[in-house]
Amino acid sequence: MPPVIEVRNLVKHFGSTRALDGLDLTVDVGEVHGFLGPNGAGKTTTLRCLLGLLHTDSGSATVLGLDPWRNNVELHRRLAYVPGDVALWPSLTGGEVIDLLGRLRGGLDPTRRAALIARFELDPSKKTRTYSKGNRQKVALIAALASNVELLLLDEPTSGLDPLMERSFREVVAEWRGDGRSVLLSSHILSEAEALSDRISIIRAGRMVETGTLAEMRHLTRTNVVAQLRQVPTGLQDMDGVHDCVVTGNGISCAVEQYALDDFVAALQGFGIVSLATQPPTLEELFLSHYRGA
Amino acid sequence: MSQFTGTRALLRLALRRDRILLPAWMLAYLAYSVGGTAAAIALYPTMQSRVDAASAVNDLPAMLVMYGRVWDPQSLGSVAMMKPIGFGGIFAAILAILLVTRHTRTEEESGRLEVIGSLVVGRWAPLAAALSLATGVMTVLCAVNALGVIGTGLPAGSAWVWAISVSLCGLVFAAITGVTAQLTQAARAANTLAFMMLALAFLLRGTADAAGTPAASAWWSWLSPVGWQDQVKAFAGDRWWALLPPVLTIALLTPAALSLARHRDLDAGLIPQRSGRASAGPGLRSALSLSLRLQRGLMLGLLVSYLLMALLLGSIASTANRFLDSQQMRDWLLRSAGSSDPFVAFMVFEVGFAGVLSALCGVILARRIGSEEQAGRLEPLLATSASHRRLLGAHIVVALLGTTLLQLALALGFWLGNATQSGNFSGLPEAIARTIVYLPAIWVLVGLAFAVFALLPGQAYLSWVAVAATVLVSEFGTLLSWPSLVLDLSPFTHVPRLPATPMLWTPTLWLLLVSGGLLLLALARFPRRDLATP
Repeated sequence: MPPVIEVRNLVKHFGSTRALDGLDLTVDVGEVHGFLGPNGAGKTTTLRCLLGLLHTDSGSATVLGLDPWRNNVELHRRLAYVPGDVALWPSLTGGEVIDLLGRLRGGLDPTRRAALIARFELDPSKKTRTYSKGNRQKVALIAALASNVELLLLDEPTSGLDPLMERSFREVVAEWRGDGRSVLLSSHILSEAEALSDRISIIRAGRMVETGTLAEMRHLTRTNVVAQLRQVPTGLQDMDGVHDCVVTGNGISCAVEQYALDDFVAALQGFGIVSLATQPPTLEELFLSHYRGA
Repeated sequence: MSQFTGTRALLRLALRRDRILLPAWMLAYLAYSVGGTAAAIALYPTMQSRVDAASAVNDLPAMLVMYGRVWDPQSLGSVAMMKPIGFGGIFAAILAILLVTRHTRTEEESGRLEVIGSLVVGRWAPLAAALSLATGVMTVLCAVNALGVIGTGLPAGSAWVWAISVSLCGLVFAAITGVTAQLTQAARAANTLAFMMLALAFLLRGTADAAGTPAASAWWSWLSPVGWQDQVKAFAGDRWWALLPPVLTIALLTPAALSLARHRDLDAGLIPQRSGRASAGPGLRSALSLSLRLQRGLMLGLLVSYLLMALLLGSIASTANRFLDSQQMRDWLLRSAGSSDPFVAFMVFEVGFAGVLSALCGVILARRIGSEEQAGRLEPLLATSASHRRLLGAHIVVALLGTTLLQLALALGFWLGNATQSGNFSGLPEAIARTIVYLPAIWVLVGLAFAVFALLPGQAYLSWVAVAATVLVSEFGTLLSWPSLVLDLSPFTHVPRLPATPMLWTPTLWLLLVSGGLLLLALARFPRRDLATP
């Protein structure tokens, strides 16, 4: 099956700023794809290009098999978008905005609408002027999730939600994704992407620096090991693939590359293991290893 | 620490934000007041020419409503400064209203005041800073106005009393806006309330002059801040004591606004917010229905104001025939309106004036899509199946429909006002023809506003520059005998002045062609440009 989103070598300038600098991105059918990057990396610009709201300078982008710039209207019938900063019409109520956006997208499911409003605890009869950022976000989320589309584009969708609502959001997205429906989830909240995503792409300064499943990406990083030993360990810090070693009495803590793990644990046994704790790298560390220094 | 803490810093911020707007506005104002006066002085070299010009206003109720009475037909200042005296306070008030709302309710609505409010800033500081800004601007305006007019050779004392009365009128409306900004949650509504007060003040002054005697206006002029500015009778007796009512009003309204500001919450208005429908009605389902919904409040307000204004002017029009028609009067009317019949000339004046006003309203309606884009509200719409063209088309339909309705309301009001006075109920189709014929010219400016939105989204001010230039040409063009090349630039120059002149189809079709071309250009180019985001 062809991918839902296929971006090749995308370039977008704003004046002299190179916002997207040869970006590549592939989202497969049925997956939730985490799109991670720090502020200003080009996440929102990418999403706007995928919607055909911005004209790209060079490179190609295909969404659901369509060119977003040429076939924007046709495309928009088949996807729903939740912007990061949701601006609504202050004189309309939340319920009116949900219906309006749904109708303009080509219809929405009234049962799902009611269920989502209950789930997110939104009062739809209030004017959007009185809503907090979180409530405005809920309006956009409900309008998107209640519509019958194949693809969701979410731009930091939980940035205004409280932890309980964030959990509801995760559940709803997990339910929604079945039946070959796909999600592109831009975020800088790592735990969110970690919990929801099948694959992850990391963008930095307009360029994709890493793509893969979380498991694949963990191959690239170090496992944290903390051990208590019978004897004072020696020579471990000089092993290939072992970093940041700290030895305190009989204890040792260090970060070990994937390939060196086997040798390292074998070497530990030589000193007699009392206790051993290993911690897989968090997305946080993946993230940091991409942005620190590099 | 008092509730005024931080006022000075906020005032500096406001000055920084308005560092281009304020000098530009001040220059435009001086061009109107001092430049216009300097040019007008040359037009009235003899006593007779002044008396003639003054009677052209004083003998026509419609002109009295618009400009106010020329209190001393023999005084050069009184005649040459007819327009700065008539409109000076109103223009100052418009700036004052926009300034005060911009730095109070707009800041609050945007959420920026929340950031400010968390700093070491008193509850009164934002309002106090906005009012101080208005006071400073009006003080500078007063000085440059007075010095400029003195520079044209007119008497200094009269120049000062006029300049002070103008700035005080501006300050009264700054204080009124200080109050309206506390009443409503939306900046737009605060502006609307203040502008309604200004329109009311103008109508009170106008009708009081039309109903008054050559020596004094009717009593209700004293209820209007615009009337107070007229009552100082600058260059015609200089009644300094008439500056007292505005000073007292400012002294009363400013503490009232501050006390309202102290007793309300951030983001709250004193007029409470009601709940609405939990789901959209069946009508709200397209880009067009949304833009109709967004603009209907403004449209209703404009339609009601138009109807009232036209009713009033229409009922005064029937009295135009009673007034003595000397040969000079006939000549003057023939020269400036194309007909020596006072009734016809009156129609031509008023309909022409209202036509330019409708163009301004049309551009306000047309600019809405630009402010929606700036606020980031086009993005969620364009991410649905609503296309760029459909969205822009919806706003174009609303602007064209809105201006058409305004012109129809104008015709209806004129006709009804005149018919109830004269008892002659025929002539509605003619009344409609007289106003509808202005639509192509109005639509040229509307089309230009849309074209600017589509092609130069960052240069929205160009639409306003075009409107301002049109106002200048129609206000001064014939009066100062500008070259026809300049006059021809204004679309309104090409409108046939029914019924003084016969219907001219060629210029009308050209205007339609130009406006249609501009609209098509906008529709063709908007889908091709990047969406601007806040």
